[in-house]
Amino acid sequence: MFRRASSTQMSVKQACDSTHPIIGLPRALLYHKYAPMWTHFFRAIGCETLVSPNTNRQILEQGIRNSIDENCLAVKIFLGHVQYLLDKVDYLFIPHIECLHPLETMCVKLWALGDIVRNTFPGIKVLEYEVDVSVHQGEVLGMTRLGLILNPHLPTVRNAVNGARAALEAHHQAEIEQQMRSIQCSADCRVVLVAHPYITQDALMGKTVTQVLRKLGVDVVYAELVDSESARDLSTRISTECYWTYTKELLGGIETYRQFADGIVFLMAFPCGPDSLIYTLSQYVLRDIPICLLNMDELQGDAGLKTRLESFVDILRLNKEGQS
Amino acid sequence: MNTRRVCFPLMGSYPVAEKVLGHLIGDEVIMPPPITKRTLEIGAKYSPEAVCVPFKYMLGNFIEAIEDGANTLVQVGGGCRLACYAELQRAILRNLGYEVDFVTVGNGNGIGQIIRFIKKTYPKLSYLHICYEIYRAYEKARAIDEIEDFVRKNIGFETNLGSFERLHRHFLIDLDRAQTIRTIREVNRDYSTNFRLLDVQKPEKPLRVGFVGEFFVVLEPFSNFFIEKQLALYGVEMHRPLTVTSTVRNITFHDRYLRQQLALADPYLHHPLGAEGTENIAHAVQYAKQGFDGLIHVKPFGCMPEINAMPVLHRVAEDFHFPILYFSFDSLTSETGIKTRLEAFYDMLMMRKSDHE
Repeated sequence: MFRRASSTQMSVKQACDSTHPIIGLPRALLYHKYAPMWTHFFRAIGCETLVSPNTNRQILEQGIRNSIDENCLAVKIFLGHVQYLLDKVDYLFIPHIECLHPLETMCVKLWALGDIVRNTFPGIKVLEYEVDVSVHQGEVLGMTRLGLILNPHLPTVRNAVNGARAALEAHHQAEIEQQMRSIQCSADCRVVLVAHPYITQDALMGKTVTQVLRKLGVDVVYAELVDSESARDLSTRISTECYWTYTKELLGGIETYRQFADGIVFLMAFPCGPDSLIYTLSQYVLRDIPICLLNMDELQGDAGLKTRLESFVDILRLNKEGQS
Repeated sequence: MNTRRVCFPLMGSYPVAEKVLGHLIGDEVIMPPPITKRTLEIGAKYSPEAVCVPFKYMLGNFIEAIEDGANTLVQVGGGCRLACYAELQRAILRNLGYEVDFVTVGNGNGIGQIIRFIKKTYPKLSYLHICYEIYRAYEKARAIDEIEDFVRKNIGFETNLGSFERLHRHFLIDLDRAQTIRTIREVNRDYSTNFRLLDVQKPEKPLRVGFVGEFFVVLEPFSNFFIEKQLALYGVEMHRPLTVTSTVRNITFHDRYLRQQLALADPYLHHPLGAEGTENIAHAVQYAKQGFDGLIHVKPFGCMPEINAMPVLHRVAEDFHFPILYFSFDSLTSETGIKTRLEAFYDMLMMRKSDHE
């Protein structure tokens, strides 16, 4: 849609020729989905990277300070990570991923991350690759373009891109297989946790929930760990009009795993746009399974969360006793 | 077969244009009663809490129209969350026990898609007829937009209080009656002369304020507590780039338009922000460059594209010393708070202006 090399990217070229710049990866949002790919890519083209630490209270507070108050919690945390990396790195890596499959799109928050960061922290240098298949700019092309700016040797870049994509695929498959194996074992209570990877894998958001659930002796299955292609097909059973790729994958995850589970926990970062509609819609469609919808915001106290999860698990156990 | 009683969600003065499309796909058109507090209360009661407020208004509209006998609901599609409104609203209404048909028009871009969709749903209609009716609706919307643009810029300076509003009411009635494209254009022409004949006392350099934001909240005055009119009545020339006509134009020439807007928003934007976000930045930058006195930005609570736009607007405001007032509307927004902020904003603009002179 917009194929102009930004002025920052041009200046990167000059910088790379002389020194070895450090590239910062904020441990938030898409990092949780693409981590193996990005780290492999930058290592292969010979760039040094720095990843911000797990989210903590301080990072969250920085994020809140730098954000519009109505942003969703995930974006606030993202801005906190950016602030953490700001004076430690030369460039920040924030890809612009707009459209991965025809007729689908990403949440518009992900489109705008680069521009939000550039306008919130003036003077910041952002590195990005662009993915928008609706204008025939796929992942390979976008990453190759970025790679060539950092390393002008085309074969190296091509190998890096292919290797990075293969690494992500292998990592994802391994995770799915592991989850499939754990499902085969019987558990006394099992729930599907429906949330984006940037929520489930965040130390402040999803990790607290999984900890509470595990302590209650519940086996947690992640809806995000599915094969994207088949999941997006399955998602039409719940919603035909949903067109956000990642939300579709989650819906497919529900359809894949719900036969093994006793209940579903929806976890949403307040006020998430796509999820506010789609999770409610799922509640109307999925009538035969208990559902718990948790909304996470920055004021979340652990006590309230615990009580709600405990009572939900109690209901699941009572249900099971009643059936047997 | 049962008679199809079609209903549309309300938005500004546009029911006049929507009715044309309603007659195309139904036997009878039942417009929902005008939006009141009750509409929003019903809508909010059955909506998810974090959904944006247009969803709540539209759901309220639908329920009130069903109470009046509507059985075919038309929901528009589009970008952002709007594309999924219909599916959830259908589920909610079915859960409430209402048996209604739902027609979703225009998911995906472009007018061509809308025409094909109507043809597929109602194969008896000829393509020519569909195109003609859509064009007729467009002409009505264009008449509304042109007249209202003049009203916004001049109502604050009328000498006879209420003269603009009275004429505007007559205009809508006449436009509703106009059937052919020729008569619609005649109404448009007649009333633009009539409006120009009204007495106004406009200073040489009036306060000029731009009005941008999310589509529904900008276009439906009830949902923004009539701030556009209120501010205009203080004696301000209001400029609003966003209309139905402009939106139809944009979705028809989507790619070219987006490139244009991104160029206008340079250097603040590298990529589109989604929905109206990109063009709002472009307009804000243009208004700031043209020396406007201020800008009002409205959005529903939690609106994703407009929240994306806000940090960029902050930067624009800082760079140009350009006052921007932000409003966020939800089902619980109080009117007093808005009035106070609007008055303070107006006072501030006046003081700035007298300082400059």
